[in-house]
Amino acid sequence: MIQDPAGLLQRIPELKPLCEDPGVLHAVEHGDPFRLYRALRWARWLGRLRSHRELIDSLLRQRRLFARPLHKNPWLGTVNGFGSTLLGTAEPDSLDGTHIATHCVVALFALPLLPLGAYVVRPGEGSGAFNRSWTLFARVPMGPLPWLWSRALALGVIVLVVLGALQAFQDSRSQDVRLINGVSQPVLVESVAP
Amino acid sequence: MSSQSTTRRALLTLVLWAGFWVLGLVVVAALAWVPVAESLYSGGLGWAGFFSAAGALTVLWALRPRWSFRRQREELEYLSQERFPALHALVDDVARQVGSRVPRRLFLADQATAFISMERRWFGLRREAIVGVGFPMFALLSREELASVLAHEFGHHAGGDLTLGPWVYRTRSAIASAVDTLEDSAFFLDVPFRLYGQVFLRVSGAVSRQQELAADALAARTCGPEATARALHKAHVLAPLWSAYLHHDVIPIIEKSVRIPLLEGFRAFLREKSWRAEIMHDIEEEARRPPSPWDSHPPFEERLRSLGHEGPREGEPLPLKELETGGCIELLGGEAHAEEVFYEQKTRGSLVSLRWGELGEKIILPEIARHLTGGALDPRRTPLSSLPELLREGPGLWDRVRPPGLDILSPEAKRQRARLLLVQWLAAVLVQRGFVAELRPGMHLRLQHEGHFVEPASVVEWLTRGVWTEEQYRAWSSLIEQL
Repeated sequence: MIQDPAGLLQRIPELKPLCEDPGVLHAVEHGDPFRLYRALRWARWLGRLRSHRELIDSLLRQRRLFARPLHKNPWLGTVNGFGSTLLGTAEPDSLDGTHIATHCVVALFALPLLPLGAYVVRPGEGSGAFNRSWTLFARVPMGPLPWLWSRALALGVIVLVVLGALQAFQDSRSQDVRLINGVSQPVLVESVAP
Repeated sequence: MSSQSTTRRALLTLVLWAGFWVLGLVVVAALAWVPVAESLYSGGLGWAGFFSAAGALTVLWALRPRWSFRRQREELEYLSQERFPALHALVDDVARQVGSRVPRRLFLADQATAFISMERRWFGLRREAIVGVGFPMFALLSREELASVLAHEFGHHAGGDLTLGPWVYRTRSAIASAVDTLEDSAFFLDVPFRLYGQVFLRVSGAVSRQQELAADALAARTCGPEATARALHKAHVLAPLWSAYLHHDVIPIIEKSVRIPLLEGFRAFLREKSWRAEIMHDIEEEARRPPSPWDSHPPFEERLRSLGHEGPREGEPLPLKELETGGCIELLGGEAHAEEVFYEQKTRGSLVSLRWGELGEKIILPEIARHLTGGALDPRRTPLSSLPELLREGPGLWDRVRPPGLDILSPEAKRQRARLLLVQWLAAVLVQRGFVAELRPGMHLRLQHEGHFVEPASVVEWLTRGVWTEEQYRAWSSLIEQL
């Protein structure tokens, strides 16, 4: 019997045949819809579950299916155009007026720098270009582009740390010696290993 | 059980526990070294050092000890010696035979299982064993078989497994907490802990399986291999059936504040030739589940072989003799008293006591009527012949009648909910035409009138699968209208 603490199989019964993939099964049994979304995304990218490709694509197109309740509202606000805000209107639902927006660190009010998460939101009444407000309902997984972007940034940071560590290691093994020659005769300097 | 193998297992557990913390400290030290080295040798802190320091702090935060203040078992109700002297006498007797200390308390579990664990008292200075036995075990096993189950549990105590258990549990919790905290960090900091977790689960699973076989051997030496093998066989075969009955039939009824006869219902459940599709699916899935290297228990066949027995043959009938004759339920004061205790301990609030035969009329149908009356599928306004058109709406029907709120259901989930709604609607419509409801454990709601029996779920399924054409349904519905 598949353990389903979050009721994901009731929310998405189409997942049952996909549970043959250990990653998908683990995510369902863990009760984490975001992990499930990632497992399906990786299964699609790595060519697993080939016979269910169309089903996976259709599920991944509906990020609301993987919604998680809000524990706290994200911080929204800008100072001199820098800060964080909600951008985009993906997967609009004409029945309830909601859509999915990405929470981003921005420059110049709307230039996205770093995606932080995605939410199902409904624009507040009277919300306009300069006076924006939203009602937030749930958290959903980030779309593939913002996710890849955030991962690329993370990878950049990792490379930076590795290079920094190599540089520091190199610096710890050697010492620059600078000699200022104040006399007119040339001076020969030799380094002798201890 | 040799003291050498106990020492080896203890040593391995300690090494695994220490290994996790060493790994954590190595990761933190490696990350913290970068800013320190930059400051000392590279002339100042750079971006790499800054990010690395943040990573070290994040890992340290993820590794922080978590103290959970779990509900003390003291608060839970237990099976007292005054109320259950015969059960305590049996437990004490088995404990003495095994050479284990008599447990401090006995608990009643709801699954077909048994457990032993340690309870800390006096701020952890004193540790005492507590034992739990599943309610169905008293009905499924003979006294001798139950004694072998208890001997198995005491075997864990005598073998020192309970001393190692908390270390395994703590390490497993620490790894899970660290991975949970770090997996959202987006910097792959969870990867070393995830890999270590896999190794840990594999090794601790193997140790746990050895412990189970050792406890089985002790139970066989104490109560005989026959009784031990029979108890294992019954638990293996009947536990998934009890679990399915409990989850699909009993708990949904208790959630409606109703109390029904548990064992009478389970006997009726087992008498049925087949069950509802979701119950069949769960039972078959459990039976097909392949062994995993992370399992805490060895496969059933291996456990039986270690006792010198073969597994049950294909097509062998279920071992139900004890269930029919009452097993050893007298240890809980008889069937009625045992169920009284089960409801006392496992439920909260007052429950209305009903027979299985009364559930349809008194609970299910009034609930359906409350749900549908006045809505888009009001049975008084929607004709019986409209079922095919309603079914054709598919997920759209659910969108039309669903309660307000965020839409997070997949198309198939909507289709299934719409079908369930139509099953309820059909039942309500038939009741208006004089049909009477009956509910049997494991089966769909059935309605009957003047010798005509109808299962609304089957009718909806036949129409969905094309077993019935729309014309056939219309012919049937006009026949029903004439009744």
